[in-house]
Amino acid sequence: MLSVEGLSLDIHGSPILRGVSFGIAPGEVFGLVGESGSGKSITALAAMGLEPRGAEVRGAVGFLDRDLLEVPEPEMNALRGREIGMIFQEPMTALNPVQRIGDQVAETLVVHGAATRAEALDVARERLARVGLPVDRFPLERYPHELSGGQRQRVCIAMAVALRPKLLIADEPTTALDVTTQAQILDLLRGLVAEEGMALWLITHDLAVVADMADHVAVMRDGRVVEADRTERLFRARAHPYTAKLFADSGHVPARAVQVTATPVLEVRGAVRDYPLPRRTLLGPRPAFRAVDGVDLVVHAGESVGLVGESGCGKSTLTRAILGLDVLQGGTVRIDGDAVHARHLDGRVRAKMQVVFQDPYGSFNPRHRVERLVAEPFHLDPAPPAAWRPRVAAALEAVGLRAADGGKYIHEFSGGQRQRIAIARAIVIRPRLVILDEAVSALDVSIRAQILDLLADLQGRFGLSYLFISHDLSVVRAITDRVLVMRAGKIVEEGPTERVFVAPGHAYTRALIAATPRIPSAWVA
Amino acid sequence: MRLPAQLWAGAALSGVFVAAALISLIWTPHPVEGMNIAARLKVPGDGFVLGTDHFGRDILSMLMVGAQTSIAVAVVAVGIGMAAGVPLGLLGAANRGGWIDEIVMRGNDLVFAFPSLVIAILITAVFGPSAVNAILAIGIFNIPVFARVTRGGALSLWTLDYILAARVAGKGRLRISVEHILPNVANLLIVQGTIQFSLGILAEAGLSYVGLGAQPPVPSWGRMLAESQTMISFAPHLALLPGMAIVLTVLGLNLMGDGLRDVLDPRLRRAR
Repeated sequence: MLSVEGLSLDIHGSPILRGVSFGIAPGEVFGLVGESGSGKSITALAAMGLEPRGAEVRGAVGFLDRDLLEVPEPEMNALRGREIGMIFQEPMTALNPVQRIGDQVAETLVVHGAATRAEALDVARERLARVGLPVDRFPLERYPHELSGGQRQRVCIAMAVALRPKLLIADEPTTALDVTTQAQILDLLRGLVAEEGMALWLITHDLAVVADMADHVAVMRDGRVVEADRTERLFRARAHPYTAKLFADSGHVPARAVQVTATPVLEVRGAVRDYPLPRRTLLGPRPAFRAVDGVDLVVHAGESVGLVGESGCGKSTLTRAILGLDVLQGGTVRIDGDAVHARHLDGRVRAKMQVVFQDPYGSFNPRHRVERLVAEPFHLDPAPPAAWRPRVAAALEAVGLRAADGGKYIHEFSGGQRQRIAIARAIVIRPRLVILDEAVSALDVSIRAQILDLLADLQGRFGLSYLFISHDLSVVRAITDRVLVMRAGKIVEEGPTERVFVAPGHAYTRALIAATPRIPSAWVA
Repeated sequence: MRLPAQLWAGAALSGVFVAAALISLIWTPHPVEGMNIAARLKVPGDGFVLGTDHFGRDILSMLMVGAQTSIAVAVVAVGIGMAAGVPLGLLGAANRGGWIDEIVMRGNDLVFAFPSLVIAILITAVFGPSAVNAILAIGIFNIPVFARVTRGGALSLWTLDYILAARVAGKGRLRISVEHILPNVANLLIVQGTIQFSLGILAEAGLSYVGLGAQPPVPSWGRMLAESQTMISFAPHLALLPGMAIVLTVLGLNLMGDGLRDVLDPRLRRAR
């Protein structure tokens, strides 16, 4: 139904896509996989005639006996939404925050002249019910901010399929969602494909999602399709070296020399954190939301502990409390035996813990040189530049960069290199505990594998303890000794990582593990 | 990186007036304080490049010295606004929602709530009309503008991870404000400063026009306009020339401000 042939795209003379070819049959799910920058999203945009300014497109995109690249813009507008629907990664920004959800779904129908406003609202009601937002619980008058991320993505899907298009393009539709929500959205998409006979073009970086969903797969790299085949055949054969490497990296387990001792480094006892909510009545008491509810947590010297939970479960709040950035309403945090008080925290105590954040782009002041960025924790241990220069150089070398990189600015580095710099900053004062807050979640699988290796290596070398906070179960399984599962502010399960993953005790843990997409083990054997 | 054309145009226009002001410090075509009744009300070109006024003073010389007055008032007024407003904004953002923040922001609201020209008239009426009082009046009204811009920019920075990293490194809120926040709101402040500068020139002209700015014999564009009013039927150049000077300077500074925003604001840079 859709056939992309020899699609090439240059932006201001630099080639982005080179001879991309594939086809999608009616009613099938086609997966396009690749790492960031491989050109998978821009392929979809170019096929829809939405390429960025300054782009020059060559090749052919056949759809329903026409070449989409030749279709004039007014007709393309009619095609988009009517014949081809599209959903994006970020449901938070894909909806207009000042329009009601019913109106947004109805708009698709009205602009295509397919219905009057009243009829369109009827269709919107029916479509929203189909995507799991029945009108009795989710009236059409709801605004996007009243919905959760998963519910918003459902609204986006309802908009995209309002006119029953023949093709639905889904660009990383579940990447911004929690695993259990991801499983529901994938189920919904699968159901829509089966019921409506619609084709689905699924763009993702996640091999497991593709294995779960797609009939055919194409693997992209540097603007080319390196391999394309039926999903099972491609997954079993892994003929192309790049495909094989993607597989190896996504299931990568770093070699770790575990040397756990019985000395606790971090001890959290009965931690409670309340956030005040707005008053209900004018002078009444302010109700509170309990984000962290009596959490106990111990990390021993040399140990890696995973803390798993979905967004909003309180893991970030707990992290901030451990780091002494937020005040606890109850309970204690001890690091190496010293109490952590958010209001008056001694530099010597604070120097025992450091943190690496998720976003390699937001973690650094863009106006400082790397050397100064990495040296920031020396504020806790005042020393003249002569004393810290060699240690900064040593830290940069320890994370696989060169000492000379200290003179550069952060924008000269890639995402993976930035994450190495963030790790250098965390280890430069030799803390006892490093908190890794989703530290590899934003990275491509190949970079992620390297960073996991680096973390394992540094742990062995410097005797670090890690508290690994993540929503990504496979990563937690690869690098931790013990894991805690958090839900709604409480720890619901705790135990050795393998035990928890093989024989989860709590229903919520079982649900999390079941929701995680997996490549069938027979395919990878 | 290619700089936008409007930045060049704005910088060139503003540059002409700054150059005129600087040259007038050491040289003017004719003395501005001496009267020359014999040569009064000359039209442009007749021995004087831009003609003379009713006292026979050279218009070009007066415009050059008037540029000095305008620039001096605007520089000091923007300086007062930044010197007081930026620390207040940083302080407010560092203590978001705390009582310091409340005091700073409600104080800002209070100053904003008064019409600025009326207060300027009040100040000059109480303390007497002079260039210094005009500067003070304009400067005070610049404080809340800079405080708000700084606070707004700083609040969005406070949520970023590198600020969290600095806190994990044990740095205090004041130190983070100076070390991390200030350099990253500097671009906002430069743009706002350029725009406030042009507003300062307008405000000075307005105050001088009603006789509350620089006092005679110091030349000022606003007063030149006021004095030319009665002669507009037979000597229109007396009003046109200072009017043009004000319009072109303000236009130049606004173009420069817009151009700088395009260059310095990363969000707009990506949108272009």
